[in-house]
Amino acid sequence: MAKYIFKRILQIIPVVLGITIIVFFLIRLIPGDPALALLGTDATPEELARTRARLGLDKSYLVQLALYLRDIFTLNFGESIVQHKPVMEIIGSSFPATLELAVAAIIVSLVVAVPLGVLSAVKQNSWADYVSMFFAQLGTSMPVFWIGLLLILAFSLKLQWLPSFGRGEPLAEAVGALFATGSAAPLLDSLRRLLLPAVSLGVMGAALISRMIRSTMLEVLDSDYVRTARAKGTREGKVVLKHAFRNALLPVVTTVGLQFGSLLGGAIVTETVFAWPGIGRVIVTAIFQRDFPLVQGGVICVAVAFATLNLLVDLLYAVINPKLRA
Amino acid sequence: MNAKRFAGYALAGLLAFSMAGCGEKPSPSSPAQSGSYKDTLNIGLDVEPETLDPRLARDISATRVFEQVCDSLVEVNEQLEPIPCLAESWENPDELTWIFKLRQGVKFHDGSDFDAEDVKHTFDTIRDPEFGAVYAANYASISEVVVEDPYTVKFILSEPYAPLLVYNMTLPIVPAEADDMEGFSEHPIGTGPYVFKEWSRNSKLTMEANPDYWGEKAKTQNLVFHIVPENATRVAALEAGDVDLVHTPLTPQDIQRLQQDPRFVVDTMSGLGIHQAAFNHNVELLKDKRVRMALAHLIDKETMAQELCQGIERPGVSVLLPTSWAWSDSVTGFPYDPEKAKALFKEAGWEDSDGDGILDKDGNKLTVTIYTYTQDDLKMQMAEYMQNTFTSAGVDAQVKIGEWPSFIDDVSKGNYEIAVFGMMNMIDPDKYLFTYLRSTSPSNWGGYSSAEFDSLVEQARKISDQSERAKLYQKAAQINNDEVMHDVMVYQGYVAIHSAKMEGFTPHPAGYWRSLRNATVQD
Repeated sequence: MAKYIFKRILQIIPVVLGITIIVFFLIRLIPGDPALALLGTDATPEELARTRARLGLDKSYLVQLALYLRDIFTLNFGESIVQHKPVMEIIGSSFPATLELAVAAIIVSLVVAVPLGVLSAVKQNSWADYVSMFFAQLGTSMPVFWIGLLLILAFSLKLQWLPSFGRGEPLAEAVGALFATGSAAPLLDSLRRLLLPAVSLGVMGAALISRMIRSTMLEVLDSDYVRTARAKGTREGKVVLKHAFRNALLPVVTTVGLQFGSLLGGAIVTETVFAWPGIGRVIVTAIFQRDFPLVQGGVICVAVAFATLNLLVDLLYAVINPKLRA
Repeated sequence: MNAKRFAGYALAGLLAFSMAGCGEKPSPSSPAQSGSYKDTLNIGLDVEPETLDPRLARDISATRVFEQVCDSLVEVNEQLEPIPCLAESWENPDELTWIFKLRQGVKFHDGSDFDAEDVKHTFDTIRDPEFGAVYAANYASISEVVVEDPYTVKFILSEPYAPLLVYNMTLPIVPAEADDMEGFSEHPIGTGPYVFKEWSRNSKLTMEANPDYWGEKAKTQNLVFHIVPENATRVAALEAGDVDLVHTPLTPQDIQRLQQDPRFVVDTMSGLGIHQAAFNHNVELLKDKRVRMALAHLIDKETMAQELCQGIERPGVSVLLPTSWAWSDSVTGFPYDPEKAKALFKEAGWEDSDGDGILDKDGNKLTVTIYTYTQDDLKMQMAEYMQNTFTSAGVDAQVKIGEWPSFIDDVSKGNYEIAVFGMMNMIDPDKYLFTYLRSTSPSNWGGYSSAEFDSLVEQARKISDQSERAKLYQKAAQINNDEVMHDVMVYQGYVAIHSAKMEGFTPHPAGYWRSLRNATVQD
């Protein structure tokens, strides 16, 4: 197992290196001069040339790439052209916010999807199945932007139950404050602010996952060993949860893993609607500003997170399916 | 537990959760305000500042934040006139010398005294190419800053520069030690009415009232700028009471809706910007003045202002703003007139000879591309509306939309035919006419060239008599229209919407928020 994990970690290196090189060239190949984006339309040609030289953009692409690779091997991701701050510092402050949102969204997805998916498989072609799948279809069809605005209108504007935007204290700090001072107010504020964006993101994932659970459960419920379990007189609840659901989990774990990975880099719409200070917004703003070091650092960070997540999913397979442990 | 009881518990739990925090004790009120006023002003900002070092900043968001924290030598009031701030007075003994007498007894937030050395350091660094200030070129007319005594500073210019007060002297003053302070650009120190507390990136910026402020002290203890990029969310946050003030960009529909709502006050005023159609004079088709003029007459400015902008913005006439001291009704523009456009096209040899609905000449169709960028919904709508009126007049018009860096890269290289973009912060006409339209200007991407125009705008920046300057700019504006260098389509409006419980806030046409120091919100 340890050898397997080590091998998988080693495999991450070429993946990240490949992504680094692709992003390096992609951001340079799209039109748009960082010096012009930085200095604006009033800049003189001399100022533009001076700024390009200061940013090292006057060198050839290959020289720039070699210098960049040299730097990132020492974990130096450079400084943001626009914010004048180390890239790692910017990512370090925005990535935890995205992680927090993604975890909360996946929890929402699972809490909704597992009962719905199991119920609609067990009660196939019943009204419960039709209603569940209607909502699943609705969830996949509704744009996340629209869901977000509807939630704000309902829970912030009309009912005035929850804040309309923004993030409270980071959850880890809020929990720390609870233990240190005994005050639950920061934690409750953080959770109240997290709820709407997490639900708006989670609804889409829930729709996808519940459909996946339904189809794999239907397949498993029809298999010989489930029929055998029932013939032995095992209780239906145990048949469904232990015999069927556990075996139906493998493709579900894959879907959840992919969903989680895409949330880490792609929650930009939700982050914008709810003014959530995550890495998606940082990367997109950096692209519009042609802030090369920040775009590169941000994408590498998301790539590493995605690759790590894939590794965790694979390890989870081994836990769920003993056949894969060999 | 049966389903009903479970649902009851769940609802009670959700309610308790959602109400958490609602009963928090209010924090102590400001020294200046107590009782029924809130101790915190919450502002919804659309774009996060990039830096808070006033010398490096380039965006209006940064200005809105550091103008609470820092003061400048001179302020520009709502009538766009320079008024004293850290400079109590100034004199201009000759056209190349400006002497400023500084206010005494002013302290920075770290307790150090403000004096002439701070002024010199601020202006020396912004002009230093090594410092990398974006707007260094705007200070090019200053050749030297001399400290005469601790409270007198002299600016020596290399050439006369009339807008010096409104453009250069409004630079916020930073302490001479600023560059030795760690993280100054994240945590600025100034002499202003608010002391900067914390910047939580992508989220909010907080500050609190300066108890030692030299002027009238801030009326609300805390000021929080929340970064809310999505327009719809910003308006929803205002309606939900999570913020007290929001501003443009907002959709015209939201503005109209809130105008009907007595809970809010909508301040609408003429801004200091324009939306323009910039013609590339190096393109063969657009070298013909008659074609440019015909196209300008096909831009329905009235409908754009009334329908696309819902009456918030005004139809454009010339490169001078209606609110400017340089404005004159005598400068005439290009009202929507398809018949005149048709006659001009005909005069230039463009007619629909084959009956396909598209004008042609020597076998070539009349084709033109309108180019704009994704970050501004209004400009995209304007480009599409132009396409509509162009097409109905027999012009095969295409719309090209890029994102801002690609767009400006193309435009600055001359890769466009008609570019739709804006100009902002035109406190003085020099900004647009000298910087963008002069034939030798590096930002004159469309290749417009008029020796008479150049001479007028060069002369106008060198004389101090405003009425004389106005005459020169009016002549230049008429030449711009006669030659159809650019077509100003719409004058930008500025809208700020705040809670009706807010008092003391006065909007500024440039979008400045210095009056926040006087603002209070009833609890």
